[in-house]
Formats: sequence, C-alpha cells, structure tokens
Amino acid sequence: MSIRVEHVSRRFGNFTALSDVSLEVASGELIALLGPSGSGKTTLLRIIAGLEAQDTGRVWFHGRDASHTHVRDRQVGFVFQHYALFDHMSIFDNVAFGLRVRPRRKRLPEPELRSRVQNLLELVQLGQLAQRYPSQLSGGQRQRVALARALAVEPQVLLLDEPFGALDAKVRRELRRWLRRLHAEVQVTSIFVTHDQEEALEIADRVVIMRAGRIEQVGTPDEVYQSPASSFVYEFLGDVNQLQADRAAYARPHEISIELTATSADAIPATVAHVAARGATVRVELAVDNASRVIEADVTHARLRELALVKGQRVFARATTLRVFDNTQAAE
Amino acid sequence: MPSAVLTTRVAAPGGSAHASQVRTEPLWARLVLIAIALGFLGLFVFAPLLAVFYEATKKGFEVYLRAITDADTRSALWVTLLAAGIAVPVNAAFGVSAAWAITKFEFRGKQWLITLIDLPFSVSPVISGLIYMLLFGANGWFGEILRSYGIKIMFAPPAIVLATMFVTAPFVARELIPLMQAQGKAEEECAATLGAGGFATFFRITLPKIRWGLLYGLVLCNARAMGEFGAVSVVSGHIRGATNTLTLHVEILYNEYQFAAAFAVSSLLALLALVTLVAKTLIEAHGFGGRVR
Repeated sequence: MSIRVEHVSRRFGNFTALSDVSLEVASGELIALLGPSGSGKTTLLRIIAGLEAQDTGRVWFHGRDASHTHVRDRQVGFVFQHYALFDHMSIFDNVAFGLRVRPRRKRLPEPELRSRVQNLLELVQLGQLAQRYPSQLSGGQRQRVALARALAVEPQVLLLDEPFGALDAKVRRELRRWLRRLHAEVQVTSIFVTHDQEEALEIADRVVIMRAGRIEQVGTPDEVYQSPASSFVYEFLGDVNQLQADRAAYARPHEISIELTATSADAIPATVAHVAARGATVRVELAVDNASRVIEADVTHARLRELALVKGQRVFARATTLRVFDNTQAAE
Repeated sequence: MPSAVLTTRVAAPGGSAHASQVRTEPLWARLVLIAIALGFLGLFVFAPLLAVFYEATKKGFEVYLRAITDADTRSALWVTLLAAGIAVPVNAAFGVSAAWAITKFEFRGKQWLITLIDLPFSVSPVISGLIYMLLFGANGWFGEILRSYGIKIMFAPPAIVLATMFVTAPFVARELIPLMQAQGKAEEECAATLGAGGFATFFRITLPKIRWGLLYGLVLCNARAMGEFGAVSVVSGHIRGATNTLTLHVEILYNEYQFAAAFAVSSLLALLALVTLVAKTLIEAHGFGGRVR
C-alpha cells in the first residue's frame, strides 16, 4: 500500500516537532527515516500510525484519506522501540493478541489461529519458544516477537521505531540483514526510524534525512551518499573534515591523501598527532599547522608502512575529492 | 605507532575475591537491624494484638461469645461491612479511573486533580465528618430539600457510607498513579495498533499490569474503611443497633466500663483485618489465574 504525507505539521507547546513535511512512499518500499534526536522522525512515524495527531496536513493510505482514521482501524503494524511486549502473556499469546481481539464475526477459528501464529513464529525463527515468556528471551528474540506480533494482523504498513536501537552491535547487524530478507519475503510497505546512518544506508530502498522538523533530502542510499543536498546531510552520513576555516569545503577521511612533500598548491601542512589501527584501515589524526583544526585521514596499512609515519612527523594532507556547499549550514 | 596502540591494555581491576564482603554489611549490623525490625513489630503489633484477645477472653469464653453475638454488636458488624462493602468497590472504580486519566491523558488542571485526590489524607477525619454535617445535616445546605423528599442521610447508614468513602478516596489512586506512570503507555498503544478497543485493552493489558498495586490499594482501603473512627463518629449519631459501626461500638462499651465486651468486639475487628491479609496472601500465592511474576 502506498502512503502519502501531505504538508503535515505538529507542535508540542513551543517545540516544533514537524513543520510542513510531505513525503511519498510507494507500495512495497522499505524507507528509512534518518536524523539526529529531536529531528521529528519518530513524531512523523507516530502520525502515520495514528498514535499522534497532526496539527495540520493529511495522511493518505493508498489514495484514501486516513488523516482522521483511528489507530485501531488504520491496519498498521507498529514495532515499538522497547518492543512493548505483554510481559504477562506467553510469546504465543503475544503474537495471537491482535487476532483474538477482533470482533467475533471476523475472528479466525481457533485451529486456524494457532497455525497462523505458529507459522509466524517459524518465520521469525522462534517456533520453539512459543510457550516462553518475554522476560525469558534475549533482546534480539524479543525484537523478533514484536515483529511477528505486528505482522500477525496482516498490516498494510509496517512501522518500526528504532527497531535495533537497544541491541548490541553484532546482533544488530544480524537482525538488519534479516529484516531486509523478511521485507523481501512479505513485501509490506515499511518505514523505520533510525539515527544510525549505516543502518539506513544498508537496508533501505530510500532514505529520508530529517533535521529540525523538516525533510532535508530523500533519495536512494547511493544518491544521498554520493550527492548530498546539503552540508548537513553530508556530515550526517559519515565522518568529515572541513578543510578550510572560511569555506564549506569538505572531504571524508578516506578521501585524504597523506604525503611527505607538497605535491600541489592546496596541500595542507600538518603534524601527525595520533595513529590508531581501526581494523581494515588506519585512522591518522593530523594537527593543521597554525590552526586549531584536526584533519582525520584513513590510510591502508600498506600506505602507513610506506610512509613510516610516527607521531610528531611533519606531513602534507591533500584532498583527493573535495566537496563544496554554497548553503553554509552548520550542523546543530 | 599502531602496534603500540593495539598492545596498550587497560589493567583489569584486581582482587574480586573480597567483593562479596565489601558489599555486605558486617554481622553485627545485620543483627542490630533485624532485632530492631522484629522488636518493633513485637512491641507495637503483636503484643497489643495478643492483649486484645487475652482481655476479650479473660472473663471466660461464654462472656466473649455473648458479647460478639449481642444484637447491637451484630448490627454494628453489619453497618461496618456495609460501609466497607460499598466504599471499597466505589474506591476501586474511582482510583483506577483517576489513575488512568492522570497517567494516559494530557489535560488542563491535571496537577489540581492530583492534589485534590490527596485532600482526604491531609484533612482531619473529624473535619470531613463536619463537612458532611454542613451539607446534609438538618440545618445544612441540602437539609431542607432532603427532608422534603423524606430522605435521611445524617445519623443514618448513608452518612456513614459517604464519610467512609471520603476518607478512603485516595488509597487506590495513590497506589496506582506512580505505578502506571512508571509503566508508561507503550503497551496500550501497541494494543491499539493491533486493533484492540478500550475494554479489551483495559482488561487484557492494563489490569494485569497493575493488579498487584490495585490489590494492595484495596487492602489498605478496606482496612481504613473498617477501622475509620473520627469522620464516622461525627455523622453517625451513635444510635445503638442502627448507626453504630464496630469502632463506635467499641468506644461505647469501653466508656460504659464493659471492658471484656469492648475487647471482644475489638477482637472481631482484628479478625476482619486478619481475614483481609489472609485473602491478600492467598491471591498473591495463587495469582488471578494468570502467571504469577
């Protein structure tokens, strides 16, 4: 089902959570709402779900105005940040809840309901744990229960609020890949909120970057990464170096070349301040001469050996790619 | 150099063998604390309780039996049970509604409502009794109208029920508000996205989450409803066999120097309290049919 958000605004007292936000989501898409905290991404998600009311604007579900439809009737699956599992119910009963509270005439016969719930538990790889209680599960397992529970009611739209926020890094990466596969399997229009740019770029079809209640840019992961619309987007999507104090000229750490002699006029003289192996690459911190700025450069281990860098050594930093923005917006 | 960075390791905090000793209090401190707790309970709870039963049966079991089966006592027991029987359920309904409204909705005057709920706690029970007198008494604001319709509230069971309800109003709400605030509303919101209506959400999600807090609030409320003296004393009129509660009956008997009978009736009150506690313990042990956490 497609979703259209039209000129939606929302204020909380003096705080503007969303101002005039419009967004189109195609049927079957997987969209990431990405932004720092307070950028309005969760508010937008909750307004789409119907958990929060917009002050102005409309929300359309598949060409039908759902702006004033009650959350009960919107047929959205919502996965809460801390899962909101029903602690007093077994995993099975958690997943079955949405099916059991249906009006009597729409309710599935018990055997059918049981097989549907069991199938969903198999889908999220928790078939063996149906009779356990939420407190007996790990964070990753709880997350999957929350997903199965949301999918049980066959939602038109799946909305996930920071779905992997509370998990450790390794489980997070596994679940990310798994969500991508699951989405390919069930093909439900999905929107998830995250503040982790890696997560957004890795699994979303399109990324919506938000800032201070507005949408800054919408595009495929490749588009937003390769051609950021503003310095904010550029800075938010990865580590950056501002190369000149007076101009919004930037380069990412892997776009900085360290050289022992000045090969061009724009090479910046600097001193090696710190060298740290970070896995596949080495992060070198360079203190710019006569300035309080630091440039971070990522070099390969081979390059590091070639240059034989030591702390305190005098070198030159040169940007292999330089990105200049006219709209000089400092990130908040 | 990178290798230097990699080999730098933070020394692990040494010596975890003494950790358990570090965290536990020394033996003497534990003994002193336990002795204080038990000593206090013994001196101020068990001893008086024993004294009540001892004094009640001192003049023989027959006297005891006669005192508690006396018509006036039975009437007082009835009035007490009536007051508690009405006040506790009403209070449960009020407390849950108020706690729900305060914790799930945003509205103007919320702070006022919270303060207002505490009012019966901060006002002396005698004064709350007098307020009812002012409202419903013969010369009170509504006295005239009530008399013209032949409704008698003061010096009759309705006044006792009203006074009891007023005095016990905060118990359930006070217990539930902090609990429900801490629990948040994510589970209720989740139930709504799954299509659950208000009733299903309340009975299947909220009630199981707050049941222990509710039970505790009801036990406290019931204890106070049965034991209330001040407010009830003002509005009851002390009519024997009609508007006396157990507490008032005890006072009358005591003032008439019928000590054995006074203690016998007191023992009835103590028994009612024990029944409440046993009921609470049994429910806690066996749950409400759901899983006990």
